[in-house]
Amino acid sequence: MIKQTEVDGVPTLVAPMSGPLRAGLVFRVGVADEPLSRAGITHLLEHLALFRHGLADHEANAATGLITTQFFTQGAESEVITYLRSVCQSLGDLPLDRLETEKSILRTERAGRGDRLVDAMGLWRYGSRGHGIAGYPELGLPRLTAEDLGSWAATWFTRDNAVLWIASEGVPAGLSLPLPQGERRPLPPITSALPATPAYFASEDGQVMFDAVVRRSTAASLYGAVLERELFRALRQEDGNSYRAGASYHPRGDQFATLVAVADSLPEKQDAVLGGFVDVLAKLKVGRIEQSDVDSARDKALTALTDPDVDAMRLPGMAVNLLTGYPSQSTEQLRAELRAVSAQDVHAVAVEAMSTGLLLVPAGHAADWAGFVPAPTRSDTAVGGTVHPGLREDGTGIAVTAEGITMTTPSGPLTVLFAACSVMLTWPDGARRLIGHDAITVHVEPTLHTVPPQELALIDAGVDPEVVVPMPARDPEDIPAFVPRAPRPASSGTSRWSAMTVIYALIATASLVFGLVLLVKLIGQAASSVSEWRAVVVLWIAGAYCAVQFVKRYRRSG
Amino acid sequence: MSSRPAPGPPNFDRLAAFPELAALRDAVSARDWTSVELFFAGLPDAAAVSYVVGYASDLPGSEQCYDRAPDSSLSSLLRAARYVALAWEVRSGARAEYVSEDQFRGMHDWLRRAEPILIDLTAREPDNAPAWSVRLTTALGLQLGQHEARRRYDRLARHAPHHFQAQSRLLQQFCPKWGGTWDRAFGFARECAANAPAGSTSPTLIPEVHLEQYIDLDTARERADYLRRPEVRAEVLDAARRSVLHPDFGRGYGWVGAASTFALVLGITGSEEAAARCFDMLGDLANEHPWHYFEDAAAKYRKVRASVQGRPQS
Repeated sequence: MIKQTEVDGVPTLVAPMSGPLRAGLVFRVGVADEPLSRAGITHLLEHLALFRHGLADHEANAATGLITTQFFTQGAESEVITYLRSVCQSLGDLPLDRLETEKSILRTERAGRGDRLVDAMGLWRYGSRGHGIAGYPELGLPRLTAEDLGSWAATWFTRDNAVLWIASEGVPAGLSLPLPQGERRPLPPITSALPATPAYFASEDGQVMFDAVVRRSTAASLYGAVLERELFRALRQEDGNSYRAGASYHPRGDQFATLVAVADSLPEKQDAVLGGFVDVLAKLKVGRIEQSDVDSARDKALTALTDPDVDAMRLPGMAVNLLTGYPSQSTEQLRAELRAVSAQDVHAVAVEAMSTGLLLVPAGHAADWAGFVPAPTRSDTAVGGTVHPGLREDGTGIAVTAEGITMTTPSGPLTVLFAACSVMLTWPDGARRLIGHDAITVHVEPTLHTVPPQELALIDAGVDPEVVVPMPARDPEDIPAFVPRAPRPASSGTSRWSAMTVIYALIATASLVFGLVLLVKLIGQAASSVSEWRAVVVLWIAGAYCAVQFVKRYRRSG
Repeated sequence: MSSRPAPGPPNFDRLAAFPELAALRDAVSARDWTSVELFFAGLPDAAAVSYVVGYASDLPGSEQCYDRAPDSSLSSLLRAARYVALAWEVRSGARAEYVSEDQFRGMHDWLRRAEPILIDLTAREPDNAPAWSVRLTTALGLQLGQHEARRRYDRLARHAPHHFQAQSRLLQQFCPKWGGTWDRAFGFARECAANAPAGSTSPTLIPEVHLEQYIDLDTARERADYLRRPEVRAEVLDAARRSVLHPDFGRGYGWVGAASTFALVLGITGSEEAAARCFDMLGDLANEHPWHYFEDAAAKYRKVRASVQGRPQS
């Protein structure tokens, strides 16, 4: 039995559970709420809020998700009380002296985690806003200030935007959550970078992954389980081309859920894994749902609901429901729904999943043959303006107008309109990277593209300063260098008089002649300064050097 | 032997070998879908359906019939097969280096129309071997890969383990011209031939793969040497004995193709007597494949036939 009460104005869900006291303080804020130019702010704040608590003997942790951030703990009553109070107090009084240190810890954490494929799917589906943010590194870190963190905490980490859950008989006496007043925040808007679905894109990763957005339902969660069984059977047991093949179901917070299915592949069998994957999706889409799969998925879910601690185990999910305004079902309702799901219901989800699907295929493969459209990797339009060709002569060029920037490429334009720019990273060496709402990226390297200063000024004037993130200086080795093509061997040339040879000859002649003229003049003068004599010496040294260079080159080219 | 009638020119018309197909042709051109369905309903097995689908998809303008037919497994299959035939018409039969970019694009457009129909069809009916067989052709044309082709064949073979048309298509895929290797091509041909029941058409893969290897050789001298190899001759002859020359060899659709391939390859590898028996079996009948590999198919047919029958070329 789950009871709802309140602690210091924070709605609180309580259900009994054996073992130590467990509690979670959940806020309705996550990565999907961050602008890309502040990406990482919630995670940074979460780290700072935990810092004062230090190393605890009991279990205490926190996690920043897409739409929620949760502080979790388990231990003795007093430990739980201390932990939660410390977190709330820290949120109101952040240890800002830790700011830079925690930033660098986050950078390390990110590097260790690597780019998760499932996050990349969000980037392709949603672009560089909302649920797409998780696909990017925490780009906002370099520019995040104490003020940013303070106002982020005041907006999102309030008692009206939080829910507490406690797995225990009741609320421990003395528990307090000193949080400021605020308001319940709405879910982030759903953005889109996919003009049409089902769509596909290719990645070097080598796996096949499918994600789909379907209406949230018990049938949809069973579809995930059925899909997993089908993939495992077809790709691993029958074809033997995959080791790992599975699927999972994730509510998105609103009326929809994301289904994610993935299969790995032996490197040489990627084509067959893709083909087998497409056929499994098709099998379910046309309605060949194995009743035995539905039954066993249902049984598994029902069995999980027989756990004596089932109510307590459901608390974190119900806390999220409460925060997002999604109605929670009682465990009995869930059982009844599970029993009522038919193969036809699962089929309806399969049809819906296919219509919204996004498929990741291994590099070098496509899925257009299977009815998936390519997800855009180029823009539909280019801004006007003059195209300045790149120095590498690789067919790329840059054009800038007051509206935006386009990099032309042989396979089409990449355009970011300033009004739809999520972030512009700038480096001290002059490089700029603009990421559009649709996740199209334009990167300008001054060493590779010569853009006139007045056009660079247009970029800086056009992009909202709020989305500009100044980056630390790069290692010179990371700055791409323009290496001109190797000069042709001079001997094969038609003339010994290459440009440099001519220049050396001219400088040598001019220096020697001027030096001589000056010398004659000085000798004829009664009084002469030291600097004038010096000039003669310098001219003659320069002339001699150029003469030597000229002779060297002239001989070599002979 | 003396009773053999004077040989005439080869007849490549499938209607000459299987006159009953004329009724199907007429039904298709009259867009008489009921008759088309009835015709297919009378076919004995998947191999026969595949052969007749091949015929029906080559009929010019037949898409007008299939596109308008009510939705069914058969109409889907014929529609997709027709799109595949149109794809190959755009491509032309030439080797890849002689096909223009426009042709490839046009071909892929048709194949991309065919494939989703077939994906759904095989999803609904995983035992629809003729549909899987067409999917081997789409895999070839769309260059979906060696292992994907093999996967498709394995799905088909669960239900039709000795489906010659599909085997022959996968053999093409396994040849180096389509991204395979000779090892894989020979391996597959031998695997199918070894597992085939007595008198089946599957051992025809043996002369086919030797023919592919022979054609691929660079010089006339290499080709001549290849045909003289005793192990080549022995392997082809052995395959013939288990197929066209076996008493159980039937006269189902596809027998003309098998006999044609054996007649040619037995003939050029020096098994004259066995080749002559194939030509006797054929009368004047001929299958386009493999003779279309030669510039003048009819002339090649007559030349080989004359050489094995010991008669001057007529």
